[in-house]
Amino acid sequence: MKSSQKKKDEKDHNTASGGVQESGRYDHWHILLLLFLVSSFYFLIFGSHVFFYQYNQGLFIYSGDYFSQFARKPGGVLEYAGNFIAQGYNSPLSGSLLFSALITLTAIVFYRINKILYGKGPLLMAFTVIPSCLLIMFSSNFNFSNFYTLGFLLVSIYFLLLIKAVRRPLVLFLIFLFPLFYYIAGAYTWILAGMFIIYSLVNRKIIYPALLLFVAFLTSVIFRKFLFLQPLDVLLSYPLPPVGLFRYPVVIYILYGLIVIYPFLLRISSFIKIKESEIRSISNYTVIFLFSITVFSLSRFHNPEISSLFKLEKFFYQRDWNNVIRYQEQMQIKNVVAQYYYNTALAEKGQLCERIFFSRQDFGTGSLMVQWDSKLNINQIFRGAYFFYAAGLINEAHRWAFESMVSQGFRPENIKLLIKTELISGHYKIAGKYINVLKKTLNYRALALKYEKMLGNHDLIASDPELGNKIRLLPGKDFLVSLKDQQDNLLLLFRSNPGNRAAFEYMMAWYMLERNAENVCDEIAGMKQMGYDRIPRHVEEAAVYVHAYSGEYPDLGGLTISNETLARFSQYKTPQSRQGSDFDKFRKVFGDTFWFYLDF
Amino acid sequence: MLNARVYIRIIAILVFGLLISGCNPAGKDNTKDAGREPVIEPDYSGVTIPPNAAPLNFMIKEEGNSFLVNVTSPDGSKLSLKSSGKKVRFHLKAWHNLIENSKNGKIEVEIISKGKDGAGTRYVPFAINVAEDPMDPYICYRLLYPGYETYLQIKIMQRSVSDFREMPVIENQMLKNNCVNCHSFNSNNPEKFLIHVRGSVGGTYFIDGKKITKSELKTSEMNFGAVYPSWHPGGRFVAFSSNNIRQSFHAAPEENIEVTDLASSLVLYDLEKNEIMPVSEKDTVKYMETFPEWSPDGKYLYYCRALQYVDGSDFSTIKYNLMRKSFDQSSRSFGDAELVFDARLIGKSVSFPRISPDGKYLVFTLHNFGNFSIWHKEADLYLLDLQTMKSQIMPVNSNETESYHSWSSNGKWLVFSSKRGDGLTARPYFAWFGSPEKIGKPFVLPQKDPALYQSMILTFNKPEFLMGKILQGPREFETASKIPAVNAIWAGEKKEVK
Repeated sequence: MKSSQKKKDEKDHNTASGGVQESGRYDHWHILLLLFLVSSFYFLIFGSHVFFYQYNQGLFIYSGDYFSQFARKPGGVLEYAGNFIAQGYNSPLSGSLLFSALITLTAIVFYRINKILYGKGPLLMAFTVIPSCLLIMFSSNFNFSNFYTLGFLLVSIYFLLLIKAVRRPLVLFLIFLFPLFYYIAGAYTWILAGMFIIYSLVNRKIIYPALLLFVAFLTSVIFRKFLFLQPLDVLLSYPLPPVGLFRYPVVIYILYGLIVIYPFLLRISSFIKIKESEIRSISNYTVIFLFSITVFSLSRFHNPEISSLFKLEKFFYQRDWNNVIRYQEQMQIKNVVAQYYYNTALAEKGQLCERIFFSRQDFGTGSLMVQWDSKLNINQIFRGAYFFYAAGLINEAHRWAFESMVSQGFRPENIKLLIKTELISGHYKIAGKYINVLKKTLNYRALALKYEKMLGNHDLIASDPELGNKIRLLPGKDFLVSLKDQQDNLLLLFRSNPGNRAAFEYMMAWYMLERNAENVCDEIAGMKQMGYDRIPRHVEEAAVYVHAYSGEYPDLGGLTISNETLARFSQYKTPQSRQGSDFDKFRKVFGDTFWFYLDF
Repeated sequence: MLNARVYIRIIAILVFGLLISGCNPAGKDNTKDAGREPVIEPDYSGVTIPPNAAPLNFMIKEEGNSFLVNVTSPDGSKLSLKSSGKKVRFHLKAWHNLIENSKNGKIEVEIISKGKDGAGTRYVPFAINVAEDPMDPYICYRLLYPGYETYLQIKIMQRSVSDFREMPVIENQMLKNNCVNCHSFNSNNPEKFLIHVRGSVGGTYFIDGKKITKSELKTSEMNFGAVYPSWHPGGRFVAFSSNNIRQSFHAAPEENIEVTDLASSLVLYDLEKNEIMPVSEKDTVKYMETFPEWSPDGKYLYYCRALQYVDGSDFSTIKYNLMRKSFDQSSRSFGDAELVFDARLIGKSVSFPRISPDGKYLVFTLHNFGNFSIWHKEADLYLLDLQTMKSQIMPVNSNETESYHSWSSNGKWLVFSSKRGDGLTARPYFAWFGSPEKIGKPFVLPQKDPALYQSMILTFNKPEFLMGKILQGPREFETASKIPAVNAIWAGEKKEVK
């Protein structure tokens, strides 16, 4: 009786599905296309920083050594594949297309799964896009690496193969192939095992999931005891996204849980019966609803300041100093990194004393340099290398880049800095090693060839606008670098090479950010001798300020204060209301002066 | 029928001969002599190797499309190989047969390169000397980045000297990513050694046969932890220096790192009693003492000593002399300090004294100041004859750093760290030691891929010879790391060690 009822239900169901098929044969392709377009559009316009960030998190090297770093632990191959794909993240367009292809492929696989487990019911497409929509939302977090998405894709493909296998030998073959899956996908195995167990239990099968569990257990024991020198926690959790990736770690567990119980959700959804005529519209409405939720969530997750910061960082990595300066002055980003990049760009352009207060300086000297702290993440402190590089303390810039390489592996930024600093220092053999690494990359080969020509050719290095300038900034004699108080190095650097204007301007900027106008003024006397033909704007402001309360100008060493600065100061000192909107007007006029920084 | 076969063979030979002569239209040998030795990397020309050396694979740094390498032993046996690339890799068994038959002689390596047009260049053969004395079968070293403060992966590896097998002894990812420090063996014994680990599973791991125990050697009476070790040959004691170490960084491009002791002293650990005590110093002048080294008979403890560093003074004024103290095992007491080598007098500083197993010679590193010679480009190895007390610079040095070194158990081989390759990464070099007058040209640890050193950025730290294979591996150390460390008991006066 039950059996005949079931057959009848299936027949009704198929008839209903047939209706859908007739009127909406290509609906699923339209939805998948829409998914692709939504994803591409979002990541191209609003989320391109994700690709910029992930692209710069690693350097894919075409070498056996590089592969072996990943091959030595289960799941490493997945990360390797993710890094391979990330080579295409060098532009927002290719990044968004690649990522969206990955997301759409995941949806296609789930569509195939759904067709087998669920048939062609009204929620077929909703279930198809749910995992992809979730992955899009998760991926809007720039720390959610592409291999996490790739892991879910692999899980879905293997699950599809398992449920497609009807004949027993094939199922057994796939179960016994499980160790290979474990090796490739690492801890994603547990998600797959969970899915398969739920699927089997729903279908009242015991033998296969028991066998799978046994194989999984045996595999993990063999991997642990004999094959891989990895601690247990790594074998059990790598390369799943770490829970600390999100503000609310529970969301990642929800994702895992949802994928694991996916077969169960499909089963209970199959009990929902809808009129044949309504299936198509319900299907489309649910998908539109899901897309709307996704878009709404993405808009909530989107942080314009983060996007701006990455845009600034992109200019910075390209050494496009004019754009770094322009963009920060326009956006006035409050982030310490943005202000640090701005100050470094000014140092590289020799404009620290000219326009440091054209940008917000909310962190005092904290945005001039990064103090070494071994407890901090190297990601945070690596940036400190740029300060040393700009100031001409090349050894220290090299050290910080090296520290980054040791703990994070090669990245585009650290290897470029390693090569440049070694070339500047004349360490050609070591520079050659780094260049050989860079030559084995897709996107930096041309750069590597450019640097290769410089090996052993001091004249060529000296004639390079960037490297030649740094050679001129090198310390004239040795000293031990101060780690505690890096500002002390500026004075040592300047004393060892009085021609190093970058160190001098950094020193002046330090005094200014410390609100020490007197020390700034003490240095003016020697500026003409250093080649200054006029006093930089903010230094003039310091001199005028000191004059205002001491009644005396400092020794200007033959240089003069411009009338324009005197006039502006006179205007600045004019009594006027500094409340409410008046203050805003005041800030607008004088916010870019040292005086304003001193007084407010 | 038979005649027909003979005819066919003759025709075949003639055709083959014609083909060959076609390659050489003038009918003459178109191979010219280069008049010099070929440039190869690593440089194995003129080196002295043991009869159990791994194949000296190398790269040919000469122009050519293909290469013919002929290796001839003194008895005339030959090993030939053709190489289409520039990497020359010898067959392991054939190589061993060749050098086994070449003991106390030299093998000659001739290279002929062929260009695209078939024209060849014959280089002057270079020689490889084969000593009669074998090396210990394994070496042990720490493999890590020649880094500064951060670290991620640190491994202690053992490597067969006869082939290319390399096995991990410890990998720090199995020890919660702790920092794995120096390894120290008792007289090249792979079953008796210690390793320091710093971090959450830190302690000094003592290995005795299959047993691994973990000790915390720093007691409240000690200002600093136990650092550089040396095993007493009897196996009951280990002398350590207890150091306060500071790392600084140079600004000038030609310099790099400066690692300096701000204070240090010697302590003695008694494994039997789990007691640690100071190595007494009767002098009223304050010194820094480091790098202990026992004489092979266990009657003397050699070490490096400098005047106590005064805060704020220039590091370059710190100069270590080589000293020694007599030791009475029964009372665990030491005699007065004796000056062995006055480096300060010549404006230099000594580190890493290592005595040959026969007790006749001591090799040390001499450099301008301080004790961390690996970052001193000028650091060189010196040999001190302990009978005549005459010292000489060893002919194994280069323009780059030579630093840590150790003797093989037969006293015929030295392995030492040298940065001569690139100035940054240290590689293990081996030198045959016949007598002070007969020291072989050193050779770098051969690798299966001869181009390895060209790309490798890891450094080989503290190479040591081993008389056999270490039986413990990373998993055993992981298991041992879970047991709590046993605290050593202070057996000195109940006051702080200064």
